Amino acid sequence: MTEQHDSIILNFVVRVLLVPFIFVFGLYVLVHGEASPGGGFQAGAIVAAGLVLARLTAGAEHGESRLSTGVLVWLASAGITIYLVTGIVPMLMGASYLDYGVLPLEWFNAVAGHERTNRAMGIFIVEAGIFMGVFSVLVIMYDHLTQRLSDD
Amino acid sequence: MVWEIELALFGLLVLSAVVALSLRDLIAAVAALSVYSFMAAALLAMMGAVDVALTEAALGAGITVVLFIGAISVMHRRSVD
Repeated sequence: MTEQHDSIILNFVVRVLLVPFIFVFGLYVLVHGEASPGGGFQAGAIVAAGLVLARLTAGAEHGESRLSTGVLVWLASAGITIYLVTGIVPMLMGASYLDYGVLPLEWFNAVAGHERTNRAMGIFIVEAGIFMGVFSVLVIMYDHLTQRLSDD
Repeated sequence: MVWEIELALFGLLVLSAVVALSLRDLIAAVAALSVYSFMAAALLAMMGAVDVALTEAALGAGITVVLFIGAISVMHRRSVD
């Protein structure tokens, strides 16, 4: 499980066909989460599955060179922090916890190029936080398991 | 939706669960469990819970299988009970 495979077919199918598609599909599920089925947790699970697949074929030492466990721990913490800050800032502005309507996000309409309400943007920020947390924690679980395997 | 397909999926769900419980080889049991998760995901999608089906397919049939195989490879491959 932790050794590198040299098969050209396996490498091509995983790295060129499957993993980019899984990542794009995960991001699609993330950004369409408010309107259609999907959301942060689902997108995180899908992208984590893609990254675990890439690590399975690349082997333990090559797989972790791009996105190491230390970086993933930071990403997971950043995800939880994004969620908490998005929840607490409306409380500081006088509304209740996670009440996105009062967040000052009107400037984002100019960036996005089309009209989105504060509420939709707030939900998206929370979803992005959940995505980062779920995705990082799932890959960290895999990394710890394979670290133990390659140590023996 | 189509009750015949749903019935067949339910049958496969129960069958794969029984197979997963009765197998002695744990890797094969994990494979049967993966089939179980995929059937559950298909059933959830048919019942309209696409959110749950996405999670079940990605976590149940994808990542838990990898984690189970990783856990099995640090212990005995066959169950002894």
